[in-house]
Amino acid sequence: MSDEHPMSYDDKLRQTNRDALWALGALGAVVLVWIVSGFGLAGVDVRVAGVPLWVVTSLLGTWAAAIVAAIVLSRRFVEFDLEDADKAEAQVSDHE
Amino acid sequence: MSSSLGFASLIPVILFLAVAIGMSVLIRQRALTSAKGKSFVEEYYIGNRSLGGFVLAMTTVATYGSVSSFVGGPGQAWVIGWGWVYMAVVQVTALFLLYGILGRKLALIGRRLGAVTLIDVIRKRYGSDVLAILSAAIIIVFFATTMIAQFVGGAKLFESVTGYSYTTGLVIFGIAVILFTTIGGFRGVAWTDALCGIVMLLGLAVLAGGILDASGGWNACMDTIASNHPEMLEPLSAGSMPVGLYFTQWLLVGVFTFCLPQSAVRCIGAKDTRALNRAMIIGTVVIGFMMILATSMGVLSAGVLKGDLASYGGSVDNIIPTAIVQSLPPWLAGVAIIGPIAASISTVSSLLIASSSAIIKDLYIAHCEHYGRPTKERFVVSGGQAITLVIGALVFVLSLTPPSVIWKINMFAFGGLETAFAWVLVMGLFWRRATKAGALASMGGGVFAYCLCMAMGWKLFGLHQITIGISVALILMIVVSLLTKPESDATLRDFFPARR
Repeated sequence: MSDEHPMSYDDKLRQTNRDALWALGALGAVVLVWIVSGFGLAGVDVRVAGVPLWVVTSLLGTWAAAIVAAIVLSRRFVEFDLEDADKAEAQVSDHE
Repeated sequence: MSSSLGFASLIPVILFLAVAIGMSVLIRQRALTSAKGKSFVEEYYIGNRSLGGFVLAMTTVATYGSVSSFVGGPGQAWVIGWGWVYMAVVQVTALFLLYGILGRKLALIGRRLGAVTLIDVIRKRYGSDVLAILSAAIIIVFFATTMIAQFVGGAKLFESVTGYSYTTGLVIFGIAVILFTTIGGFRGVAWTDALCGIVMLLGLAVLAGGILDASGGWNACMDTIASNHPEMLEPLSAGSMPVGLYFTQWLLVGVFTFCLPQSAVRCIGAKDTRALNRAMIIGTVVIGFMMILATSMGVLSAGVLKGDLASYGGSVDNIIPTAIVQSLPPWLAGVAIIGPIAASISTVSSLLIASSSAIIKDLYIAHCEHYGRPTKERFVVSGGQAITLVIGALVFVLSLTPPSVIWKINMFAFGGLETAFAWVLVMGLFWRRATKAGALASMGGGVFAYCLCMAMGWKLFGLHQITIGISVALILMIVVSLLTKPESDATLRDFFPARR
């Protein structure tokens, strides 16, 4: 990475902890879409290409919601070098 | 089965398997020349952490998509209707949960520790050899039963579609998968998985075309279903698809699949964070397409197979093979069956290499290190490949005449692995207070409670036993951890940032 201030190992750990919470939030959003687009529309008596509306909305809707979630998450998930930039520093702190 | 298709239906499968073996030989040669001087274990079990986004996504999806996604699941959909597809679509969350929650942190920590297996990470996090041995034992038992079930499922399908015997099928693809896994190692498995993922999609497309053609087109197919089985158009399927089943399927095949060790270990093999991000998007697109299409095949089959279950041998597993035979000419049927066969062997290959790593890396090498004995690189090189071959051969022999108990064990292998690893991994990575005793209690107690309830048929509120296993594992993890001393700062140093 060409950053002038590469992330320290601790920064990266903090980042991944935040990322995990975002993924949980995304799960909540997809579950909500799944419920509303499926059970929520199950009572609507409309057919799309011979199939009940809820089938189309829940299958395509949930899939689309997951793809949107993956794209949003990938934007949030900052790229960083998986190699340890501060291994030297880490070894010093190991000897404390 | 009314008709068998004969030799023409064998050609696509044999071609596909030959390509897979050729691929793993090439990958091995390339790896040998490029990875000179690097450790064999790093290359053979984690492919020197070199997987890019596309291969990473495909290997995860192919490992996850098993023969039951292509045969058993669609068979259920033939009975239940669109509700079963509505349930199956929850699997679209698997990939972003895997890469979002575990992926990045595991990849980061894995490099820092030089971890090759998931158990390496668990051992270091909790500083416990006993926990590592328990993890390895659980992985070996549950993986072996899953592999046998994949072999049996693939060979049965082969038998009923081609008309050649069960054993012929098993010999053809069983020996191929054992060979290319032994030869190619983790990197070979990942690349052949990518190939499998692609032919799984191809097989599905062919089958979809065949079924729609045989049922007189989409509209005719939908009309047949609407007049014969109106309940197949309701999410609850007139009571055969209760809300409780949706809930437990969300846990079993949706939310907790990211904790399966065979999925999680793939994150350690990622090249960089860009690969993880790309795999998350590609994987979500592919898994959604695959699961929706594969499961829908069962619903569409109701437009062709109009009898009751008894007229198809009384098992939902016969639905897809029958649909293939009745709707496709032999050579196209041969293309359609490489879908489920690819699903079967891509799951087996990943479990096989992971089982081998559990024995060589997590048991043998760890044992030597514990007692301060040097490990001979030459022994590890030949031993690693020999163990892969031996486990493969054992699983193969057991699959020839599968013991009936295997089915019972396999049915709960998925839930058992989730119960064992979910909280040990999640709490280990995100909760400082999780302790060695907490992890041991969670893994041991959770799996025990789960297996006991499964064996006795005990349920809470009529829900699948995964709810019991996962709850017991969570409670034990929290209570026992809080009752015991926190792990030392030195142990936690690689897993948690310094407190600010």
